[in-house]
Amino acid sequence: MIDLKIGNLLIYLILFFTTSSNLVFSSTYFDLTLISCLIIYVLRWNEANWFICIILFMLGIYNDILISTPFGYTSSLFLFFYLIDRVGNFFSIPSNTNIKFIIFSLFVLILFSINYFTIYFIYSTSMPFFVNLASYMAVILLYYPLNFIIGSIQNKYVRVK
Amino acid sequence: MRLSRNLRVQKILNPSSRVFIFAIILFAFSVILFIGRFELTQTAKNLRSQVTSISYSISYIVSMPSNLINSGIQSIIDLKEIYQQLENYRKNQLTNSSSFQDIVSMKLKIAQYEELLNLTADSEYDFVTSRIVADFSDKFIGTILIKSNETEKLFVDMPATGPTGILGRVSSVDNKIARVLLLNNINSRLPVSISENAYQGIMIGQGQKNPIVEYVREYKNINVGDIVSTSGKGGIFPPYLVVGQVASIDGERIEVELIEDISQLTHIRLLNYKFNQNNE
Repeated sequence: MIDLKIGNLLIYLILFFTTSSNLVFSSTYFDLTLISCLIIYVLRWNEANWFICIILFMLGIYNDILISTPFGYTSSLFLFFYLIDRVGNFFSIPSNTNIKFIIFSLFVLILFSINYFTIYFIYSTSMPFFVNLASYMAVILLYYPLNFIIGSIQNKYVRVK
Repeated sequence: MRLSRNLRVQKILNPSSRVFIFAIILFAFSVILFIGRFELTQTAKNLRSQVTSISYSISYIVSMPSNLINSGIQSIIDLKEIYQQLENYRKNQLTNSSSFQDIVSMKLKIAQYEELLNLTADSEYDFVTSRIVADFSDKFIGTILIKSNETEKLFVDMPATGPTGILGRVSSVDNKIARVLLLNNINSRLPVSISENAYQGIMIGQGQKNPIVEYVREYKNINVGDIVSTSGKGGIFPPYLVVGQVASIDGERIEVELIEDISQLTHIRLLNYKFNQNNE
C-alpha cells in the first residue's frame, strides 16, 4: 500500500521544494541536485516502503525537465544514493559514525570524476575544474550539519518502523 | 535441506529485499533512459515544455510577494540609473563627438558601396521583448526560461539577443514559457564570421568556458581582438550580429569571449528573422 503518513509526506514535500528551487535559485557553488542527493542519503527511510523509489524516480525526471539535463540523469543520481544508504543499512553501518560520511564523500568524488571524464571524452571539452569541484565539496561540507538537523527532527517527531 | 532453502527464499522475498530489488530495477531503467537519449523524442519535448509551464506557474504564485518587493526596489534603482545616464549623455554630447560623425560617414559609404555592387537588401525583421524568468546559464547545459504568451508569437529557432549582441536561440515554446539555448551550451553550434575579412567557422559552446570556433581555414590570419559576428549561414540567425571578440588562439582552436553577459540581463529580444524570410 502507498504510505501517505504525514512524516513521509513532509519528506516528499521537502525534496520537491528543493528540486523546484532550481527554478529560482541558481549558483555555481551550490548544486541543489547534489543537496537533494545528500538529503536522500541522510534520511532514515522506512525500509518496506516501495513508494519512495517511485517518488525519487519521478522527482528525478521532474528535475531533468526543469534544468534540461538528459532524462534519467537526476533520477539515477537520487536512486544511486538511496541504494548506497540501503546497502549501508544492510551491512549495519551505524549512522552516528564517520564511515557513512566517508562513503558519501567517496561516491560524490567518484561522481565528479565520472562527470568530468564523460564530458571530456564525449564533448571534447573540459569543465572548469576548481569551480565545479567547489559545488561537490560544498555538499560534502554540508553533510554533518544536515545530518544533525534531519537526525534531530526524525528522532523527535518520526517513528520509523 | 528444504528448511534452509525456504529460509533463503523467505530472505529474498521479505519486504525490505523486494524494495531493494525494485530500487535497483528503477535505477537500471534511469540509466537506460539517460544512455538512450529519450529527451530527443517529440514526446519528451512536449512533456518538458508542459511540466516547465506548470512548475513556473506554481513557483510564480509562491514567489509573488518577494517579486513585488524586488520589482519595487528595482524601479527605484532604475530611476536612479536613468538620471545618471542622462547626466553622462549631457556631458558626452554625442552629436558633437567625432565618433558619431565617423559612424554616420561609415554608414553612408556602406550604402554607396552596396549600390555600386548592386547588392540585394537584407531582409528586415522586427523583434519582441521577453522577460527572463529562470536562469540556468551557469550550468553546463546553459539555458534560460523566458515568458511567452500567445500574443507574442514565439517560435522555435527564433534568435535571441541582448542589447549589444546575440545570446542564443529559442529551443522550445509553450503557452507560458519558452526555453532559450544559450551560445555557451555544449550543444550550441553557430556559423560565424571573424574579422572584417569574414573568415568562416562554426562556434561551438563549451559549457562554463568561453566558446571556441573551429573549422576555420585561414586560422593563421586571425588575431586576438578580432570581432566575431554571425555569418547568416543556416538561415536561423541574421548576418552581422555581434557575437564577441577573439580572446585567445591556440593553433586551430580560437576562443571567443562573448559580448553579452546573461547574468546582467532581465529582458531579452527575440528576432522575427525567420518569419520574414518565409514571407519573401
